[in-house]
Amino acid sequence: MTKMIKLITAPLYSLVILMGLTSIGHAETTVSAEVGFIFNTLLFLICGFLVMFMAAGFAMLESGMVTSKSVSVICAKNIGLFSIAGIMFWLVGYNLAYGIPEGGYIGTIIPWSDSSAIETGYSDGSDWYFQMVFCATTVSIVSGAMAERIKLWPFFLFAAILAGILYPIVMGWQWGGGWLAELGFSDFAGSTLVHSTGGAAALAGAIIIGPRLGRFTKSGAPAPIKPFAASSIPLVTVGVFILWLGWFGFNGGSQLAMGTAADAIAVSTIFINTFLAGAGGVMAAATVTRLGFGKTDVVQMLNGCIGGLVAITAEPLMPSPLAAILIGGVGGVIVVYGTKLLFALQIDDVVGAIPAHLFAGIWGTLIVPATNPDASFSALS
Amino acid sequence: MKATVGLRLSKEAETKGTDVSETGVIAYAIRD
Repeated sequence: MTKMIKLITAPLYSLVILMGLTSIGHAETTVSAEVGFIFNTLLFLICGFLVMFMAAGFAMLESGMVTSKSVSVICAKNIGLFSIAGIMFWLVGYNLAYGIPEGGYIGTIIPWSDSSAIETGYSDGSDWYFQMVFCATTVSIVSGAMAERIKLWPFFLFAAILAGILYPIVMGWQWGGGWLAELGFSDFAGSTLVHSTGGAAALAGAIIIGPRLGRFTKSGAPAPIKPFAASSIPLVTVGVFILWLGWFGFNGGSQLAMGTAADAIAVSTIFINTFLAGAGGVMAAATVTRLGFGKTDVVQMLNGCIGGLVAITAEPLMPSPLAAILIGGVGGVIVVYGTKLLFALQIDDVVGAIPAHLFAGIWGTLIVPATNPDASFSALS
Repeated sequence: MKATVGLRLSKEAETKGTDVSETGVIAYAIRD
């Protein structure tokens, strides 16, 4: 397994390393504990606002990708899942993730409560809010993949289980100090924990529920596009722009601190790399679809942006700008060919969530050691 | 879940569209 991973990633590693490649450390300055507390809390709150706005992006993206007879339900699903995710994450999710023993597998099932103290470095409420919007994002990823054939209330039940149990457990394994963290796993802002988890749930759901009626012909090829045409490409485009904007909160906020000049520089570096990876994903998808399939596919460009953003999310701080473009670009290419793979397997992912979040998330996580010297595959061998 | 309310819409509901069958509200008044 390790050999296979190395075989696949070695050439790309070499390219990334040749291009430049990691960013540099910066001198630290200090402020009082209280000022640091305020700035750290502000980072969580402001970035949390941005991540919450991603929910609007998902709603727009999905509304535009489905046919015109299934748009209202997408809106109902998105506002519903966000509410469910928030309630479940307060009720059980937060402590299921953060109540985990060191190196353990599962936390405690008690509601979140405030125990803010200056020593923790930020207000507990701001941390809950920031982590809650991540949880809701994970559930949002799933919504579009099963669109146009799943009933609304079973989806809400699925959202409650994912937000209250499944995601918090996976999240706790790394960010709560569980067994993955103990093994040295590295996932800065959630390529695996958020995006691959959401993408895997979307894949499971799409397989269980099956494709839309008539989506695939008897020969296995996708049906002519007309009956399944996206209802609004402009809406998809607006959705992706909103998601791109929200991603600065997603990755920037994951620095988790803003109390030193070094933190401010790190957040700014993360913003640059996040932007460039998205841009790399867009242009890689545009190039591949034009050269490989004869048309510049706008849907793949838009999903390529998401793929690029997902790919950089595992390590948005350490890569050089050029490496960020490459990592995002490969994410965009993965989206294009991942979509083809799902067609071949007759898995009907209406919005392309599985290639953009699951496949690109795996890629982004595997390439982390190329730019982050503290990460390696040593735990696998 | 499958045995009680079911996960998937009926063929008829799916053909009509989820807007009509699930929310009773259509998003666009004009359709092609």
